[in-house]
Amino acid sequence: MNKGNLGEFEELVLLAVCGLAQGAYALAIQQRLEDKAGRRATLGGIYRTLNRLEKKGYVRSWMGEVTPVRGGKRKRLYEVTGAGTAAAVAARAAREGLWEGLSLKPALR
Amino acid sequence: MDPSDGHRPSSPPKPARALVRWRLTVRRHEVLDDLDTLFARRVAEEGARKARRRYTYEALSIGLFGIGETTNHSYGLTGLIMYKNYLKIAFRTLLKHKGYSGINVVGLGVGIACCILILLYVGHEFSYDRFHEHGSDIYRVQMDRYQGNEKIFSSAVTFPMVGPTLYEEVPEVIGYARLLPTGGVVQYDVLQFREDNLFFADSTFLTLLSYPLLRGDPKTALTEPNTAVVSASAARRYFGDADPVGKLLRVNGNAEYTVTGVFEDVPVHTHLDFDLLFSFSTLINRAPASQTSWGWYDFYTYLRLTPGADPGVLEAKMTDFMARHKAESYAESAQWETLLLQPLHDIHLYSRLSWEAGVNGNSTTVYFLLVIALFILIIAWVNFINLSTARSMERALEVGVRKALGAQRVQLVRQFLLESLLVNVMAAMLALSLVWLLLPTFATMAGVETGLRLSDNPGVLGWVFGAFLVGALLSGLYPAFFLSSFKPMRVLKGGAPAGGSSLRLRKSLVVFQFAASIVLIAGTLIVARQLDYLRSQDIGLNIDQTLVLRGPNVLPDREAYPGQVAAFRDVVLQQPNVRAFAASSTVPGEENFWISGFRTERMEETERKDVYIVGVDDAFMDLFEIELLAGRSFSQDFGTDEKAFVLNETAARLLGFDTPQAAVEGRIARGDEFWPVIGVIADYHQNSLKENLDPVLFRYMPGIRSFYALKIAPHNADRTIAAVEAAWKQVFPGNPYDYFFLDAFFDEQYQADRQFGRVFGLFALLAILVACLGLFGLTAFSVQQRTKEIGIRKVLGATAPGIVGLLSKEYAILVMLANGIAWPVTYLVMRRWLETFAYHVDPGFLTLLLAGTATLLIAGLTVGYHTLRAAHTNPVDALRYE
Repeated sequence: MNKGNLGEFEELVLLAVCGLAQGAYALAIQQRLEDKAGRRATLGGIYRTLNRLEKKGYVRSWMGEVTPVRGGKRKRLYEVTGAGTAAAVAARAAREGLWEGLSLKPALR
Repeated sequence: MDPSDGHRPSSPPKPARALVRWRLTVRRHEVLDDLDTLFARRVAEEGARKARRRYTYEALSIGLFGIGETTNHSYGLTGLIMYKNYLKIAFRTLLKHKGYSGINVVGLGVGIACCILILLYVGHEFSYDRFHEHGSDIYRVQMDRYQGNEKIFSSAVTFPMVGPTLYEEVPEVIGYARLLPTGGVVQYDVLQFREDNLFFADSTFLTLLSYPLLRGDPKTALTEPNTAVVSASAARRYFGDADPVGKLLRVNGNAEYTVTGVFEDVPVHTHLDFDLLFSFSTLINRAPASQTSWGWYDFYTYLRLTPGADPGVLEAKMTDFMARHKAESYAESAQWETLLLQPLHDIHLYSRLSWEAGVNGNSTTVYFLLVIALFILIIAWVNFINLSTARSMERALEVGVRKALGAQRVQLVRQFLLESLLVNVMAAMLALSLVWLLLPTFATMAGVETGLRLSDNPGVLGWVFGAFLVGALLSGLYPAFFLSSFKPMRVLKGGAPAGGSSLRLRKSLVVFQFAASIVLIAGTLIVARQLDYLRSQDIGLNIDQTLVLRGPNVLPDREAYPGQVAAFRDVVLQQPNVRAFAASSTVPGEENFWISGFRTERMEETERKDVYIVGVDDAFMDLFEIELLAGRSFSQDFGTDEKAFVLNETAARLLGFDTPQAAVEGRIARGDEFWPVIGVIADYHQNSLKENLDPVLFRYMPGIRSFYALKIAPHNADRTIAAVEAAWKQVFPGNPYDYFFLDAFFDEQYQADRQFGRVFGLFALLAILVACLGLFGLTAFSVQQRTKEIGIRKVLGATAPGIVGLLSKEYAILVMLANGIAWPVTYLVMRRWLETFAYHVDPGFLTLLLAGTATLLIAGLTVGYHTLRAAHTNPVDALRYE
């Protein structure tokens, strides 16, 4: 699989998938992004990012079983792969390296 | 909460859902399910309306960008490859048949170019007075005067008291401004010019209408007496680069005005043109009646109504309004007036009243041109459809092979649509270059030298682009569906693919094209004939070789004028080339504003009739060779003629005299003083022959000095003019020497009609050109298809003329049929146009026949090229081609 750097939004989505453990599907990801990261994203955007992550081999997906919650509709579930976890960790390490020794405060307006 | 509301199932917006469904393939269902779940949740949280909006937003995002589906079935990629292929094939087809592609591109290009030109012109005509900020609430007062039940005139001017009184009494009227036209010689220092577009204007005028001031305060600039605002170009004319504010202008040598402001030059697209405005308050001393009169109607009055007020409601009250304020004069006269409100935006195109402030446009012309534009465009599209379907034989094999190899119909439709789009794009580019090239010429022709630019009319471009898209689609759709419908089995076997229906369609389209062309050609001929008729008519007086001078305004000593004019007359008449000299208050071709009510001794005060007045000297009748029907004309020998009248025939009839002779024995009066009628002259046309003859009364006024007419010899006109100028400078110093030739001046009245004729002719020519292009292409095909038939006929002994006849007959019948449709249409339409003239020709059978024959001939020539060639080919070549 082709490896590449994680884009900013890709990283957010990937982390959301990690955080949701078993129940990661598009709607839940959208919700989590809004709750935890304060990011409102369209479903289409999330699908596009998930598809890209899947192509890079960072997540895998399968069709879930029918649950009564959704009125009998099936949903696609996502899970982080080993490469995905490694990429997330690497991204964090890269950031922390850059943050070392910095103490920034948002400028007051 | 209303239970029914809670139970109403709210569903996602259908089009948005359809968009997602259309955009996606393998992941379609799960995404739709997700969207539905999200929607349901948002309905519960935020309500149905917000949820639907969010849903649409989500769907648009997916529709626009997709979701990056990974699948081999997506035809995004293959689709793109196919489009590239379509484009390649389209280019190849176009290049292979350069002739037909050329016909298509040129025909369409010319058609679209015509359309753009006409739309630009029409856009310009509709743009008049749109720049006023409150334009949609502003109306001009129109006054209709009646005598009993009979309307005497509709006037653009009214009494000075109308504006202020309406403003006081009617709550809907929230502003008014009056204009009194004037003119004369304006002088600053040694500079002096004759100005025609001058008005006395209320101080409210500059704020009611939007004429931005470059200098000065629009609210106060015209409040004080003897103040003036000038246009930027007038300011340059008089003061150069110096500051105009505070300068003193002298008008007609007596009144002085202080310049208090400068306004931007009045734009081209307005019905009201002026260079200088004087304050209305100046009139308090100079013409006190302007502050009180209910009888003097020379005032253009503009009203501003509250936004949204219905002018119709106001108009309904106007008869009462006038009756209330003119009770006294109505009591002693059968004449009465009512007021109407003309929307400011409509004045240019629709207003044709007496005493307009300028020459207005003509809505009929504008709509005529719009129809012509549509005609030409349709003719061009018809060509395109005809040629595409005519070529079906050729393309049938291609379609068959493609279908056999698995092409779907949708793909074929797409391919043909792309081809037609390509032709349309090329045509549009050609059209734009044509417009760019022709615009200056066309603008001159249509009489709008300034104000016709592509860049000024983004609206027009939008329309053109829209029309182009629709046209490209419509003209492409029919051939696309027709061509793609062929059954591969049949066409590959070599059978004829086309049914009779497409042939019938093609023929009826040709009939339509030619009918439209014939209408345009016959229309042009009729316009030309009418103009010819107007100009060749005897107007009742001789205006040839007549030099007219505008009389002197600047006279330091009025008492000295009789001596001055006598001196001038003597000097001028001593010139060997000047044969006669006459002074008058107006000349033919100049609109007469001087009108009053008169009665005979037998008529009551209330029965007075409105008659135009012309002041003349004793030489006027002789100089213009006006025919005397009874009595005598004015002469200074009698000494009493200043209290006498000469009538024209119409006036004599209007005042109730049975014969000219009877009139000469009668006496008439404006007030109570009756003066004798000493003569009756034959009618002559004061204005163009668009208008009827007016009743006119002549008065002997030796002091009249508005115009001097000089009859001069045809040779050495330049020298004569120079000699007269020398005399003028000597006798009337301080007055500009301003002259024109009367025949040219009179002819200017037909300028708009001449322009209309030229424009009409141009487009008629283009229409027939485009139609012939199409016919040319069509015959080429039919001849090509019948190559074998022609060969066999020739082998069997057919003659060349016989073959030409055979091939042309079909088209001759179509053109005949087109004539059958075009003649009644032309007759009806052109009669309507002709009826706008008081004197006009009949549409005429001969003109129609001429137009019909011309089209038949042109069509014959077009068809002839191919038929002759076909008839003269060696049959061996024709039969050997397989």
